[in-house]
Amino acid sequence: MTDQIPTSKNDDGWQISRRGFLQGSAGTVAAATAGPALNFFTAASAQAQQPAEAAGKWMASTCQGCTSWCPVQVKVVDGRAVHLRGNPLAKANHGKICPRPHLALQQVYDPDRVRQPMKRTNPEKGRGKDPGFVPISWDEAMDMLADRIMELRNDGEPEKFALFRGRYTYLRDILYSAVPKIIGSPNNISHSAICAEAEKFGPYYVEGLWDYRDYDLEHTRYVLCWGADPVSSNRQVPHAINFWGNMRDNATVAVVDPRLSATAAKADEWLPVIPGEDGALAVAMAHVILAEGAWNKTFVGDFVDGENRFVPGQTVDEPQPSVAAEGAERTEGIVAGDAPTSRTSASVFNEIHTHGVVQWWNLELKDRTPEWAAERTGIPAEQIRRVALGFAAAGSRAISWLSPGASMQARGGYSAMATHALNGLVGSIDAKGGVVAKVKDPTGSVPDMAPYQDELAASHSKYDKIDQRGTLAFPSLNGGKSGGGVVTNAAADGMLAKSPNEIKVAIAYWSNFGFSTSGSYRWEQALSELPFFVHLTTNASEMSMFADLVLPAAHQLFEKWGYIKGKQNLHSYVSLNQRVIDPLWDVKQDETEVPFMLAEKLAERGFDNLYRYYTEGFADPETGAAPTNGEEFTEYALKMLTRGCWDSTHEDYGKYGDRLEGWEDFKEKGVWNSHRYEYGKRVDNFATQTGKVEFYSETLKTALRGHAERHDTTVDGVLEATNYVGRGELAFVPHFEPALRHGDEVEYPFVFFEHRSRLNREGRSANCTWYQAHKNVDPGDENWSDVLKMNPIDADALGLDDGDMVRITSTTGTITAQLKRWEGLRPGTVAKCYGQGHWAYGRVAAANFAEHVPLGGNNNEILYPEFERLSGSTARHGGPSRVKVERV
Amino acid sequence: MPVNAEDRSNAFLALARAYDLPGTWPEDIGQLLRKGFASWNDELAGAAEAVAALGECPDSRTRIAQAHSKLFIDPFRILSPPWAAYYLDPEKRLLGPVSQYAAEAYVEAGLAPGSRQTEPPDHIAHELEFMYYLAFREAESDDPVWLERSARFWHEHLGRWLPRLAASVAENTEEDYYARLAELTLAFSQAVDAALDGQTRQADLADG
Repeated sequence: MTDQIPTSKNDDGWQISRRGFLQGSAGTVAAATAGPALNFFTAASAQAQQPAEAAGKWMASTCQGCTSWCPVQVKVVDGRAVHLRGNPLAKANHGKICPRPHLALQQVYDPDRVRQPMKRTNPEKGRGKDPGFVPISWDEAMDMLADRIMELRNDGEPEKFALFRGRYTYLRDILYSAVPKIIGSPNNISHSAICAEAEKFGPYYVEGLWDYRDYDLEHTRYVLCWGADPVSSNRQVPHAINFWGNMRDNATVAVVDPRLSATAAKADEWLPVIPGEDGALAVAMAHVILAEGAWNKTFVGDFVDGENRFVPGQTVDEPQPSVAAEGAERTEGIVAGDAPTSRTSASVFNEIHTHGVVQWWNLELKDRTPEWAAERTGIPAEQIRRVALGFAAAGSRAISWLSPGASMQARGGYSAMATHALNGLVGSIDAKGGVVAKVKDPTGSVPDMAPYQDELAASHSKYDKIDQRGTLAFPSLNGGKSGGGVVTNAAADGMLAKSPNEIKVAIAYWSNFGFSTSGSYRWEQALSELPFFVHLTTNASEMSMFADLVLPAAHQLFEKWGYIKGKQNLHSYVSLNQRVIDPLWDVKQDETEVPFMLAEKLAERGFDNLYRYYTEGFADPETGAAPTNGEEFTEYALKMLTRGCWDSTHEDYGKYGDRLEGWEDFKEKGVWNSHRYEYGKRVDNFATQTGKVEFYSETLKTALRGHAERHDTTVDGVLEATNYVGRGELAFVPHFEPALRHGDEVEYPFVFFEHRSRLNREGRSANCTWYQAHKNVDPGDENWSDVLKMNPIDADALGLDDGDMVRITSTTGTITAQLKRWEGLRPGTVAKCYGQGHWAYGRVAAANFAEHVPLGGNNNEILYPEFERLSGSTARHGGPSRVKVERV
Repeated sequence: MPVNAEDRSNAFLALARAYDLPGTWPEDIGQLLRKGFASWNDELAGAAEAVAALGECPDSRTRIAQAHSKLFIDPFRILSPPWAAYYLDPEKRLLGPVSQYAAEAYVEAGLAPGSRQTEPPDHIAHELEFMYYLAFREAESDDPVWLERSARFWHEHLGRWLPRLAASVAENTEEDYYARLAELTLAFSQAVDAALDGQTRQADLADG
């Protein structure tokens, strides 16, 4: 028996079969036949009828519950995913996982998932407006989308299309790059700038690395965390958890964090810095290290006569003529493209693997005493001195671990530089027991799209982007280039201002910017005004409420093919996302199947460029076959881009690590491991302008001058436009910048800051009961609640008790939460975990789902939409908003 | 009241389609419902007629689709979850033991998921279609196993939650089609209880 194929529409056709059976079948009526008319079943094959394998099978995939991206294995029993563990073949996380993968089980089987394509029937958009979604077929949905895109092209305005990307696998460019470029839009906007771009800014302008770092926990002797909470969140959590115990036997741990985090609770030193003052602390530590002569002299160098001239309050005499003075003049006069100048005279200081330590001292550090920093940071001078010297005493086996908390601040670019530069002072960059980088992997790139861009696409895809990158106020200096990075959160402002142009059609995938961005109300407004919006997502969310089409996406861990690249434990790795279970719902793979269907629809309408790109540019590397459908396309693309891992005929096969024995072997094992990192290979070959670790950043100088020149202004003009207060040569060294806050201190007496949960799968756990039921694993938090943590001294002053409902008001909004008296933060500050406050994410996530009443409050409703503009980042940390707290 | 296998088969088929996505209905859903319940008692035939009349009106199809979405699909608020697990599993786990019960029953009856099975196996439309299939086989075969399977699946599973689903639909919908369908479902559930109870006893006696 098989599904009935309808052949007749006449009444008698379906009415009665030979024994009087009705034969109603899908879509229309069926002819009378011998078998039953089944929509949902088919005859089981003999194989399918075999008794289920009671013990189940472990199948490899990847967890993307945080940015560690750990290789995992899923136990599948009778087609159902029931358990997870780390992939024992992965050298990165060595078979270990954190709690997050387990929560993925509740995500994939969440009844509040989007189960099939839905279209909006209520044209009125806004919070609380019922979209009136009705289910439609994928075919109809893709027809609607293709029609809208063709309208833009036919009207000669393809730049009015935008694609917003949240999380991704490395099949991302198939959708994220190819669709906008071949259609003809510049507007592919990633989430990166609400994630951690400012964190990458520091290492880039110190050592030329725009990336996260890896850490040699096995050999380190000192770990200094800046807002980082490695045993709980961000980054390499399973590896950190597993190594932390042994590491603590050999190393000292100090944690700079306004909150007593999970890591701080187990540390030797907790430095509860006033939010946003991390930079002051970092430069004071640098001051101590230099003033006390504790820097690594084999890495940085030394004064030629061995006498330490880093005397507090005193400038180190520089040789004549003064290069610094010359540099200052150039700064004011915009001289772009100068060759890097040696900033340190060999006659005074013989600098070895670094550049500009004397200039850093003279320009910034000489007055940054611990006593000065104590007043700004709230940290006692003695503790600053003790930690700085302990850190330096570990020499190259010390880690200054920078995180978003200390960098995603309004003036956090220089904090990021300062905290990372500490690694330079002790020589731990690229060193055993220190801070290292990734090992190369053999993955490839998607084929060139240019041949498939017609004239319209080629010209319009070069238009300015909607996220304002490269404008005077948003240098976004990724890679040293003006406008080289993304300014995710400014895209909402661009859309509202229709600048540089209107956006008429947009797709967002694996994202929820209507919730996850500071000043999220701007996104609600922008999405309300967006004429046609498609949300491609596993779960309906706040962003879906504004969609014209909601398309169900496959879950990354269980239902989707893809691959990721990561690094932990001194190994890089390539890990496969695999479809280990048959999807429950009518979901498609967002990065491959959906764009392939769209390409087919566009081709039907006479624009076949995207379809040709997919079918001509991609082929099965083993057979040469071109893809004929989305599933084949997915597999072929994945095989192509990872070929160096498993195909012995590939030029990079075995060059950087594992030699997997073919595609099936890769799927079975799930992970490719690199060789172990080799220390010291990058020394004097860093990707900075000097090849050195730059305390005086020639690399940043060139970047800032380039941006200034583009806008016909000075570097000081750029600093002013980007909210920085430093001027002159300070622009090129890590330096102190005061925290930027919104709200009058009298009216809004508390500095509000937020933190992350060890259970949150990148902000997507709120509809999991396990998240809510175990929320108190985050120190200070309570199960099934959203608490505002306040020091008891402040709570007493306000007469507030545990459990009181309080209203938290900033200059941008008001939310409510439950008060929690907690000693784990200093008086004058209040803190709340990010993640609660969903009004449209499911029944568990909301207090009253039907009425869109959130459980707790979304921090982004009270966080001012501030930026760290040099990197383009959202400044969600550092206490950008002051608040007042009142009993409800 | 006639309760033969063909009658049950036809009624379950009509009901399965009536709970399915409106966009996938046979063009003449009304006729399917009328004929599906024509051999049952007047109450059921009358209830089916009411549902049929509402369902076959083309003008109301969009409204019914919206109501279906609100009841069974809308990710923002499913009013009447369409899975057995919601009613029978204390923890309401999708693909837990309750879903597995249905999946195992399908396998035992020789069925595998078809192309349109994009829901957990204990979805209402799937289970109703399964009952249709069992009755269809029962009518075509002398093997008593098909009746036994029908009775067991009904008494141990579908019969325990179908009335609760119908009550939920009746309580939550503002759409006449689903209100009448809920009435039909409740009445039909009672009739099936009686029919399968009697049939099972007859089979037991015959075996004895």
